[in-house]
Amino acid sequence: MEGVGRLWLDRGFLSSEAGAAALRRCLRLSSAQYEVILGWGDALARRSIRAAQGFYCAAPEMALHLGSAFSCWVAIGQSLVGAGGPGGELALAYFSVGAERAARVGLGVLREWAELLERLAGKSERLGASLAQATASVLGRVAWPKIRAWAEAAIALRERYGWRGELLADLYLAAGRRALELLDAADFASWAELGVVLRQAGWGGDLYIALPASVRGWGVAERAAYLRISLALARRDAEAGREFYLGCPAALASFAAALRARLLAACEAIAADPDAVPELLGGIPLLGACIGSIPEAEREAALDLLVEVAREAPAAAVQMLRVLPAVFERAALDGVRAWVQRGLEIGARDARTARAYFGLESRTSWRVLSGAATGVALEDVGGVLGKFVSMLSGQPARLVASAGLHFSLPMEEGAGRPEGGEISLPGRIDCFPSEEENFRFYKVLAAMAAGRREFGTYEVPRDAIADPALSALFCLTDGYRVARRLMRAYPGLAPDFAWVAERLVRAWGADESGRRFLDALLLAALLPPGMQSSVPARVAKAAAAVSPCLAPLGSPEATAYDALRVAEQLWALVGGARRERGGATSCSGLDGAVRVGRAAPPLSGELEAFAAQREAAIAEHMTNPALSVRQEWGGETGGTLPITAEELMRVLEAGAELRLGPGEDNGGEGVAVYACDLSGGIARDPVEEGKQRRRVESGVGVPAGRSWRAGREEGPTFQYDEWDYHLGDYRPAWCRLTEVAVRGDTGEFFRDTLAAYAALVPELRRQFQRIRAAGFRLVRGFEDGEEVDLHAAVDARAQVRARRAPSPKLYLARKREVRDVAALFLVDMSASTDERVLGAPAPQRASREDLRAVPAGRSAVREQRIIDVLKEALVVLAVALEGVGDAYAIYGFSGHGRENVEVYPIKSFAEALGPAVQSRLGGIEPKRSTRMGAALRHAVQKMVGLSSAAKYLFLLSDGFPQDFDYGEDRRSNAYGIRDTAMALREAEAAGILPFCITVDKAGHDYLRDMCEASRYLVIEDVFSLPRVLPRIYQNVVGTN
Amino acid sequence: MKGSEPYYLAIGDELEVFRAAYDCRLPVLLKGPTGCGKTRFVQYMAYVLGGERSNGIPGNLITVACHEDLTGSDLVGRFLIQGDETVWVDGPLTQAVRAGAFCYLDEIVEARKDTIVLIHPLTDHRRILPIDKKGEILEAHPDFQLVISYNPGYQSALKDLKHSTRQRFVTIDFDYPPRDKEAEIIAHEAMVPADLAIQLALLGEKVRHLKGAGLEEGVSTRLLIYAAQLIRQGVAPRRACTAAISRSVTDDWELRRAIEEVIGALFLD
Repeated sequence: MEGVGRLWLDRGFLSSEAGAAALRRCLRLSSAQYEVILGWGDALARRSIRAAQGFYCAAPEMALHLGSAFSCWVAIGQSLVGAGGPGGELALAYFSVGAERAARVGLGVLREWAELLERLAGKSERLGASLAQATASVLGRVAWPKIRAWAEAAIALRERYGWRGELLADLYLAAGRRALELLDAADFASWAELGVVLRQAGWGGDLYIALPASVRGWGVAERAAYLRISLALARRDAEAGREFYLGCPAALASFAAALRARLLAACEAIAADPDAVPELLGGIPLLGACIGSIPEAEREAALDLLVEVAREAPAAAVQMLRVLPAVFERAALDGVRAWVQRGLEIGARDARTARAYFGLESRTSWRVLSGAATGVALEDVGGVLGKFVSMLSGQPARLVASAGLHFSLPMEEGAGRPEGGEISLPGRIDCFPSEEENFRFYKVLAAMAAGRREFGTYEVPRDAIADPALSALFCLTDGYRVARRLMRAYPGLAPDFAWVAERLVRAWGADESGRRFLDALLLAALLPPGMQSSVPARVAKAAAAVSPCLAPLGSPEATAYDALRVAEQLWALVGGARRERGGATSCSGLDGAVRVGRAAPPLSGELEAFAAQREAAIAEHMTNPALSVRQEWGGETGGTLPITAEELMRVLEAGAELRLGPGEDNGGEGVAVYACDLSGGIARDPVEEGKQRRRVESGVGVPAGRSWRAGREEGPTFQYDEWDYHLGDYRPAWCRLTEVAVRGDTGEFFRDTLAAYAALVPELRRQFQRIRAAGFRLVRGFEDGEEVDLHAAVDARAQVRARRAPSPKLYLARKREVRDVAALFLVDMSASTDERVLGAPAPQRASREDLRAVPAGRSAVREQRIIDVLKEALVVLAVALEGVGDAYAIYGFSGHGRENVEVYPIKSFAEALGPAVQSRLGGIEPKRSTRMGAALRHAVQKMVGLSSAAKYLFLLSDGFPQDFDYGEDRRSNAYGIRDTAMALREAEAAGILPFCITVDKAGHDYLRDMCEASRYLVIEDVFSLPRVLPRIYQNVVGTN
Repeated sequence: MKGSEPYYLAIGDELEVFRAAYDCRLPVLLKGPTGCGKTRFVQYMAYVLGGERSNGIPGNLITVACHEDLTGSDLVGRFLIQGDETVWVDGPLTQAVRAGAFCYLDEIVEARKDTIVLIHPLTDHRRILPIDKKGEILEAHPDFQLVISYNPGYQSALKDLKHSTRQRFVTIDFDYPPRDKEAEIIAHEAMVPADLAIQLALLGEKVRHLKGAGLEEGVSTRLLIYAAQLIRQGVAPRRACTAAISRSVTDDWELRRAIEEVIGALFLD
């Protein structure tokens, strides 16, 4: 055995790096110790030479560290030699744990570890080896209980799931380093189980190694919740579980622990409802954006509410998450709480109602929210403010919403255009406790915008204030000028300005942002005397410095150029103040104009460099004022260094005493010349860049690139509510309806139809003329009238003779018979009207007995598209109506989805049946779907403004209402039918009598649900429509 | 009968044009928005051109406010039964034609078409008025002057004046006076201080900016005078303007609110 024993210590091993190092360490031991090592080595070598060699490498260190416990340590290793298979991998891994780590964990842990390895190796040598390798490197670095839990989970996989479990356990162990780093002992069991579930569903191969790194640092409860949700989802739907497992941590990465915990709680509650899972997964990527848009101070409370909703109505919670930013824009926290409570009460009815409510898709939801809101949105008051600005300035005003809230508004885009420029106002104001106060602030801002127009701000070319810092100063100086002019011209605005200034100067003065500081400065300058005490010290200091410069701008004669000049001077003074502090020479051009007072602390190096550049530019400008602004200040060669608002604030804040002295004229003259000489194109206002805006008015933002919509003339757009019978409520602004111009033909269809119905048309005209009022009729029995009524006069005489009191009603008058009827024909232009229909052999044309005529050249057996028959009927009816004089309009409708409902104006009430209308009648063609509700509501809107005594709305269709998103269930028509029925009822409520005509033989089935039997007619024979329609009209209009 | 001279402040050359037309006995059509001073202008001209001569017609002017039920008999005259007799009574037009006064048909387009044609023979060189019920053709007095008015602003296409009618008249366009003159008018009519009158005229100017952008008609000088009169009676300026102006010119909530904000901006209560 000795010979064998020494074989493991061969030359090859000892010449290897590890062997040589071990030998060197052994040489430091006593011979007795070395003999012991050799003895143990020999014993190990009998079963595994590699194990013996591993032992030899570790032994010298261990002998020194462990002393008497050395033999115990070797004995543990020896027990592993046989357990790990012929390769001795377990023992090798055991001996690879360095002396320091082994000493740190202690023999007890080493023994436990060895038992664990033996246990697993007893089931699978391969897994045992994997576990040994994976754990050997972390032992002593990671807490033993954690390692043990991790290993136990692997063992459990093998024990519970057999060979499949072995494969999984292998993958599980391979991801060991990542798992031990990111997870805790309590997590391993569910993490391993997640792999099992996903593996069974065909996933899971990469699952363990793909453990998202974002879970690092999460709390125990958070990780547990995350894995619990993943597992719960995966058990129902492997794909959903995997998606959540992989996507959730990244989506939550940016949140603080408090928010994360709440979000996970909400996710867990939502995930409990299988129907809500798709929405949950869709909502996870939006978490950052949605929560980030909620005011920071209210996020936790908002998420508490979300959790509450998620527990009560899981499917609605994701909807709520999406609209939370909008909800918080409209209402403060208390309002949102009230909104949620009401929603939970309403949503208790059913999930669909809750979803619509919390998605702000029901009128009730909006109403409750609006009731809770004190903030004012531009969307709601834009109409009033736009008119207010238009009246004050005398130019049309288009308001757009901008982000942020400032007193100095951005310069108007396109100012001075005849159609008016684009005025940016905050999208919402919610900084005061009541709606009235928030509106008051809006009014002051709108007045400032109007004042700029009225008092000539835009006479100054934009190039002159292209520099952002100069622009900010100009906003300050011109803002002061405009506000003073406004207060003078509109005395009623003065209290509003004072109120806004007093309320905001304190809050904004404390704001760290540079832009707010300038706003606060302007507000402080606008404060009435005696109210200065409300100004924060840092603003007051700067205001005291700037006020003398602003004072002359309060004169009614001050112009925008004066404001520019003062802004320029302030600009130079700012440079001068800096120089004074830094001890540099003063700017020669402004010395006479300005006295810079006490010294201030030195400026930063960056600011000094900036100041030097600006001074050079100012000096050059003063000596050569003819240079253009672009060359000097903003040009490519000028190399200007724009000052930021913060820098400006710091300079102003430093409190230099600035005063315009007697030399002002000299100093200002150069600037005035310079300012007047400005020329060139209007520069883009950098302040405007990056501004998020939203058009208040509708009719913009039509998505492009849809081939079926390309190349069309689109008119204004409208939004209409839609009735959802499931909710028992309207979905507000649900349909976007666009008026689309119809491309007409050359009038050929109209002419051909008239020719084809040559016999019918005159007959109809005669019929219609019979129903036309005679114009005037004689009415008897007036006490005063045009003529004496002889019969009455004779009767009166007889009465007198009989000594009775005669009737005084002795006159007659011609009274006009008023026929005041308006009718709108709404024609279904859905794709189904393209269907061809076959009719019976047509009768011979043009006989009085049978008024129906067959167009010339058409075959005896008729085959036509439904739409063509509808068109013919409209042509015939239109011609007949011209005779009767009733006001009428014709509109087609179709569309595709709720965002693309289309109405095609064929003839408006104001138009005559001229060539354009005739052409459009010929241009009616089948389009797409049939969303009747929105089209009917639009038609009603067209009619409500009419003064006619009787209004009728005729709906001509060939089938039931249908659209791909007309209700959630495409197979059911109920949603569309109920919405149409509601739209018809709305028409009646608006004083318009609707009447439905369909050529669909199955029309009874749904029309009876939509309206009363007397309010619809099913035309069995399509081809009879041109003949029947005028008669229907006569009957409907005549009987009502 | 002569009465006192009506107040009228000329805005342009309308006095000269009217006087010239009168000298030639040409009928005159006054076009302009409501409440801009058309009626007052006619009153003034009738008074001034009537001279010292008295024709028994107060102010030398007969005004007929036309409406859609106005018949020919209402203008020309009719037989009335008085006791046992049937008596012919001249209508306002006939009275003016006989007496040589001014006849002013206000808002002529409101009248029925068959009524409007009655005036045609009076408006050309014939200057006659056929009274068919009496079988009489009445020649107009040399001093008779026909004046009609209409407001093209809010009239629909259906109520436009036919060319056969409008091409018989010399037309004078009216509009709201410029701010300073309107203030002068307000101050005179309502007897209010000039600065208040100027503010009211400014308000009128501002509100008129909305014409075509929601308002069919701008606020009339008449309404501004009403507001001034209310203020003179002690009503607070904002309340007076609200009552006399914003509530009168529109029922639209948004327009009304916007106008009231402008009122609030212009007047301190």
